[in-house]
Amino acid sequence: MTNKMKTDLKEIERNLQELNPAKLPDDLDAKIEKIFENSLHLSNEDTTHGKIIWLPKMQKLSAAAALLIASIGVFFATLNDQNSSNEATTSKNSVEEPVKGNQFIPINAKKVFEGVKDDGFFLSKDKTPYHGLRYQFSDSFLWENEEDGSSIEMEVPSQRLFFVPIKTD
Amino acid sequence: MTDESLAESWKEWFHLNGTRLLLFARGKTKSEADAQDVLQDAILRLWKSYSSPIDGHFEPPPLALAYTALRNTAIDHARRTNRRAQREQKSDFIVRDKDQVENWFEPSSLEQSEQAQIIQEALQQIPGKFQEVLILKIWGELTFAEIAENLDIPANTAASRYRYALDALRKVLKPNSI
Repeated sequence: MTNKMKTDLKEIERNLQELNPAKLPDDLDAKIEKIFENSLHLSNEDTTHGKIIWLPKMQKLSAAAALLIASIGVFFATLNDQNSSNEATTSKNSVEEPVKGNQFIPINAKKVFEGVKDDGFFLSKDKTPYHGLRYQFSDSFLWENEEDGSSIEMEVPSQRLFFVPIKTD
Repeated sequence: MTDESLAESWKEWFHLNGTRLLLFARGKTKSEADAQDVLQDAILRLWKSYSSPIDGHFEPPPLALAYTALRNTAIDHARRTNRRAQREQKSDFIVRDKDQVENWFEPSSLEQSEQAQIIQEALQQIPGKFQEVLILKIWGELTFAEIAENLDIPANTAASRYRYALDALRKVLKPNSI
């Protein structure tokens, strides 16, 4: 390495040392400060007011709701398959167990995915960070009265909230 | 130690080190948005590990550990981003906002402003393994031993990379110099 090169390297090193890293954007600074303030929030709920953190309960409720919706969907889908896939079976069944008059039977169930919403970050009681994802669906159910051909259609919005743990190790 | 003072201690620690941590994150990621995400995630990881006061006192995370957290988070983020990019290539619906370009340095004068821009561009051109050592040494103020531990390399290698980094910068900044 020549003396000229050494001088150049020293000069570059000095130029680098003179520079200061840029300030943080305000919005990023605010977001990160919120992380630190969350400890207050958690602690207050935990001890001062003698309350519990609702996150685990919400998770259980969400899971139960999701299971319920899924089981309804499966139930109607199964009925729909039975009604539409095999005409012979259907007619046979109808001979054996005739549908009583004025009775609506479910003939279709649909779950249409509409979008996903970011629900932000949550911290559980043990301070595990979770990322909330809210999946939005539109569920529709169709019942038909085979006697007179009348039908009932119901469409309801539904949501599934998933808490995805953020890996921190 | 009250929760308020713990939060204040964290904020104080972050105000002291946030700018240099963001600089490192910018060097480890491909865009400003990614750098900010990585910094946020890494701070969350650190906060989770160090949020409780020890013997009633706030023990800030060592800076070397903060850099390790940033580095690991950046690797995780890059893996996720690559998977997402593959999915998005198959989709016509995703429209990405044009990423904003942020200055890496805070120049103190107009003259330095131009130099800061040149150095930022030069830093982005040199190999990543040199760049990270340079950032950790100059702005992270870590020793070669700490850098070596952080990157899991021998201390001599860390020192060599630092010299190579300066030389690589020289080649970019002074291409006609021998």
